[in-house]
Amino acid sequence: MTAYEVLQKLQKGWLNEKLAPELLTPLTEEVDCMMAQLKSMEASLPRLEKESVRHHQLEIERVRYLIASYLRTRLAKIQKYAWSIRDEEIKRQSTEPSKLTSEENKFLKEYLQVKRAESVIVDDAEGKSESQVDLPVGSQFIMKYRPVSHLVNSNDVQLV
Amino acid sequence: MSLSPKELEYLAECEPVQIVSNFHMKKMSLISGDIGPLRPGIPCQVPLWMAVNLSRSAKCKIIPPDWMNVDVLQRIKHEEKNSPLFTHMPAEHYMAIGKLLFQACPGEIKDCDEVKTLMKDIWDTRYAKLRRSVKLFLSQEELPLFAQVDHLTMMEMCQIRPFLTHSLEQIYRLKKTASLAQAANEESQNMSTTMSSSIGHSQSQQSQSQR
Repeated sequence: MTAYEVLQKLQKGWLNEKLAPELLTPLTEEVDCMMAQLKSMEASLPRLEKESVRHHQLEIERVRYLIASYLRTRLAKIQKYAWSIRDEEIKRQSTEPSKLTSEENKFLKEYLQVKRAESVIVDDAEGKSESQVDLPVGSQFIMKYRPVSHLVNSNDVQLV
Repeated sequence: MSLSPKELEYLAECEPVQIVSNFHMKKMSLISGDIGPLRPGIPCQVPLWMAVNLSRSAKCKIIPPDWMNVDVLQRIKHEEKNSPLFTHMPAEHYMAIGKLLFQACPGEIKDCDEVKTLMKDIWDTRYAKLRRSVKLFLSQEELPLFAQVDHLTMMEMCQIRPFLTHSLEQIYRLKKTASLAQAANEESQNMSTTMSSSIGHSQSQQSQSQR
């Protein structure tokens, strides 16, 4: 595949990622390939004709913008749908490809860890419905004990 | 989930445009393809972002695309007005390209003001048509499952997308609530008939259903 074809694919993927409500299959290879291409392009800049250098630089900026926007769009979705993406990842068969790259997976785990400290999942007695409750610092709640027991144990919440 | 005007402009800047440079440059291999060689006075095709950049430093003249001309635009405007469907636009990003070129090289565009007005007219005609179609789409008793919108450009889609998806969501919610309420209603009616039939009194059945 030529660099141009990879760029076309990334641009299409960027548009789809921007406009789709769900997280799409990541274009890991394309991103890696394009990043390598940018690197080698930048390395070769000093050897190029002076007049053409700024056009190459401009193009590098543009491609970098595209990739950054693509990755940011994915991270925003991962934050927004963190819980359901995690559930999907757990349910996923090992033969199915993941919707997350290894870096994104790490991001999701860390994000959930931070989130978890600030919120708990409360379910009703039959386990039919559950909802996530945010626990901002200084707030008070009446709720079941079980979901917050670990926070009581770690002294992160105070019973009043 | 839509594209911002800046993002649409980014896409428009990838479109090719003809320029006439006033300097020499050897063939250049960009990621997005080979450019040049540039020779003074000889037209050459480059991406719009490069053309805008070169013309900013007075190194080239941009040749506006064929369709940015009063005759062509008047014909398009006329066709758009008389067609019930969206007509094919000469460029996917016609508004963004227009905006960029009006800024970069107003002097190169013949009858620039008239061209600007015509393009705005075409946009307005299409946007009014789009609003009418969306209204029609949403006001049907049974919501259509899809609508084919050939020739609608990306910017037009992006203009209407937030409103359309939001409306469809609201309609879905209302319909769901209505069907839930109806189901609950039917259930309570069934309950009352079984209750009254177990009592077995026609009189009580009447009073039950009245309640």
